[in-house]
Amino acid sequence: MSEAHSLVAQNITHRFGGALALDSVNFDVRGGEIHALLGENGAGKSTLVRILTGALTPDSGLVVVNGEGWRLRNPRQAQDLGIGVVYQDFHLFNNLSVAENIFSSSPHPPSRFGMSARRDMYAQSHELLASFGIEVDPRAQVSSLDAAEKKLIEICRALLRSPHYLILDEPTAALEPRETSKLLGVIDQLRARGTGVILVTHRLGEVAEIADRATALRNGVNAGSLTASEFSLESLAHLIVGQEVLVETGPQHIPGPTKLKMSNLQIRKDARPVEVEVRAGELVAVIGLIGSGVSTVMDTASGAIAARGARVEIDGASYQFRSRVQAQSLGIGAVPIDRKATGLILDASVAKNTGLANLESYSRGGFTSRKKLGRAAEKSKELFDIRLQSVDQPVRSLSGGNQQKVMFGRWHQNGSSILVIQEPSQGVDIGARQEIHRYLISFAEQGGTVLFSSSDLEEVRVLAHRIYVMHAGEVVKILDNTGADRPSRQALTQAMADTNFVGLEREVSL
Amino acid sequence: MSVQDLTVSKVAGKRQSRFTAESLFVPGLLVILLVVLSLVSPVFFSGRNFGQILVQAGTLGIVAVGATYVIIDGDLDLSLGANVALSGVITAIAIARWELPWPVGALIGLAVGLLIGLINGLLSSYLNVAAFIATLGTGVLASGIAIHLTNGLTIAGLPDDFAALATGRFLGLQGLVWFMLATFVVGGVVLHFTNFGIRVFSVGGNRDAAYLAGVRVSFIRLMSFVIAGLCGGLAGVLLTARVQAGQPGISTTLTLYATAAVILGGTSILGGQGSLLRTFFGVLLIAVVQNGLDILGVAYSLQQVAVGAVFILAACSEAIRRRR
Repeated sequence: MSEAHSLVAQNITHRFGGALALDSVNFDVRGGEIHALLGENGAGKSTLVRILTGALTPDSGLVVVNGEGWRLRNPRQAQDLGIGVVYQDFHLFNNLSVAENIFSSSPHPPSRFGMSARRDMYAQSHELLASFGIEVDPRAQVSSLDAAEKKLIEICRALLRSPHYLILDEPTAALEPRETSKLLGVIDQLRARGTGVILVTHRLGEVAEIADRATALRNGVNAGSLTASEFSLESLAHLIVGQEVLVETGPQHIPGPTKLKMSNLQIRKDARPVEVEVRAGELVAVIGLIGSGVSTVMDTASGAIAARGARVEIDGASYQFRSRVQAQSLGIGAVPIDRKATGLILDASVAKNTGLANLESYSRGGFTSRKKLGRAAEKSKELFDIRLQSVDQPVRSLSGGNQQKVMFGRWHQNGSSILVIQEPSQGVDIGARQEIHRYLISFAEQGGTVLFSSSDLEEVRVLAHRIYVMHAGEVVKILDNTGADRPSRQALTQAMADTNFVGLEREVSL
Repeated sequence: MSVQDLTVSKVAGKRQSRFTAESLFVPGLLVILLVVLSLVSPVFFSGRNFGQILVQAGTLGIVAVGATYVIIDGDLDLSLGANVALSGVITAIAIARWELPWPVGALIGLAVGLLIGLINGLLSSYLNVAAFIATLGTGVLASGIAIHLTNGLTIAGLPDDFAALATGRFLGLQGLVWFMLATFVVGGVVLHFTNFGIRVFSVGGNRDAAYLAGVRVSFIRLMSFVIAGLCGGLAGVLLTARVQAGQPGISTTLTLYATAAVILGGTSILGGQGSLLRTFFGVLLIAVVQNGLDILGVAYSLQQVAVGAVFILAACSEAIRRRR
């Protein structure tokens, strides 16, 4: 390895309290290379990222930058050494312009006579954006951008300091397929310019597509590395989990009669009203780009929003949902797209979050029985293998996958017969994802009804009986995912993006 | 045990220990104050004076119970002081001018408090007016009515047995103190041991998530405002009984002191976290400071300065401990 141009984490060991988070971990990235950092939640990835960016000083070990060893004390030091980072969550000022955001962390924003010089700022931003082929107006307010554009703005902000190494923590987690490819294109350009990129991600498809090497951490130790020629979805999954990962085959059972039928949902004025039908025991996916109306379909089915005119039939009885309470009383459980923002009460205990939807079952005369509540949470802990110390611990302290399992546990304990799920496994590691998939399939096998949306097409392919494809507020295609001619990932991507293609097929498929 | 398990337990452990440090802070401060004041003043450490402290804490405590509900569910009630004034004044008018029997007058006072709470709740949770503005409005309105009804004067001429409601002694403590303690106990049981209480916490913790879990968010918020209004009404009636006069001029400081007592106790102003026990200690702290300054003969205006300083001090140390 050429030491001259590399960023190396050397023999890093770090404990939190008594727990060994990283044990003699080694990791390196060279200039002009993309090295993927993989691992399940809690494997130590984010600890390693924090150490490389100076946010955390390890108990022992060095960060070696271009051959020189450092004990980084703060993020500033790492920045000065040319290490940049873009974190998973968005850290942008939505009320400011693109250019102002790009320069927001710059030590020397353009100025004239002490006043901030907007025109220079816009010009320099434009130059930076254009050099990556990003078509965003530097004057636009950030709130008007889509998720991928926002991510790109964050990357540009990090690039303003011309870092030699850039760490990207789950950059595509919030992006849809088309946006993801846009972002991967930019990462590719960075590599071409000689930047060393550390890509932290759960999405193995991306790794196979773009990375030069991949290294996994498992329980705080190096679990091994692969180079590009050895990449496959199976080999990468194996590297992460440490055992053969079962290839998911999708649902095998045949669904029963119609359970839920939604009709007359008018999403756009000029669109045909949406109609969605799900049978008992069936898993139905709804896919589409952002703005295509997928979330409206899901929110209407779960009763989270009351769409005017839309009717929902359950077991033949017709309703017009006015509130979430009403939908819930009819047996509909809802898992939202963002469990932290709209799913869980983060400061409340696991037990309370589990029982919140049917407190009456755990109480007498209005008084809550902590014992019954605790028992329900214990049961859901067993069923979903939720990793926690005590059911009284706040949900905030759990990892993303375990939080998602608490969401599912709630509706399981509630006895819901219909689940309306947005992004079943977003931000969830492979192990938890497979458990969630296994649960959903067995739920359906026992007659449960599942309507879900996902931007992860692999997930759609392994879960759904049927797939509704949406575009511009209407259902443009319904695909069968059970036969021998299951749609490929490519076909799904194309179906979502290409209106012409879809328009031709419309007559045939509906 | 895997590393992941250990990390989780470590986080949980840290949270728990911080929790105890947080819940011991105000009681600790209270003990220090008691010791210091006992050393400084010979009058301070006596059963009689402690009884006096509890009386001083009475009205504030009852109002603070209501404020706790509203703050935990993520709202704010700025009308509480005016609520106390108006319900007290109307109680006095009902008894002294309309010559109704005092229990009827007291019930009318409670009803006024409840009505103000109901209006606050309807405005905030069903019409989606920001609670800050809605309750500010009803507060100014209520205090205006109270002053108008009395021409700004206190209403005297209340019967002794009505006064006994607040000042009569039972087991050595005044009625007002018993009412305060009862409010805390009932309020605490409902908040911490019932489904309703869990829902109040969930609505304050994350309104959207609570809605998605089938909690009737608007109703819970409405009920919290009603409880706060009822507490304001009760405090108004008892205050009128204690001073034997309807007082239109109860200042907004009562609202602010009650809110401060809640936050001082360690309930989050952001909602979703807190307890009535903490509020109780917050109330006691304020009462002890006021009482100590009384005994030391500090002028009222300067007392306010001191109380303000205590608020800031406590808030700062709270913020510092949270950051760690």
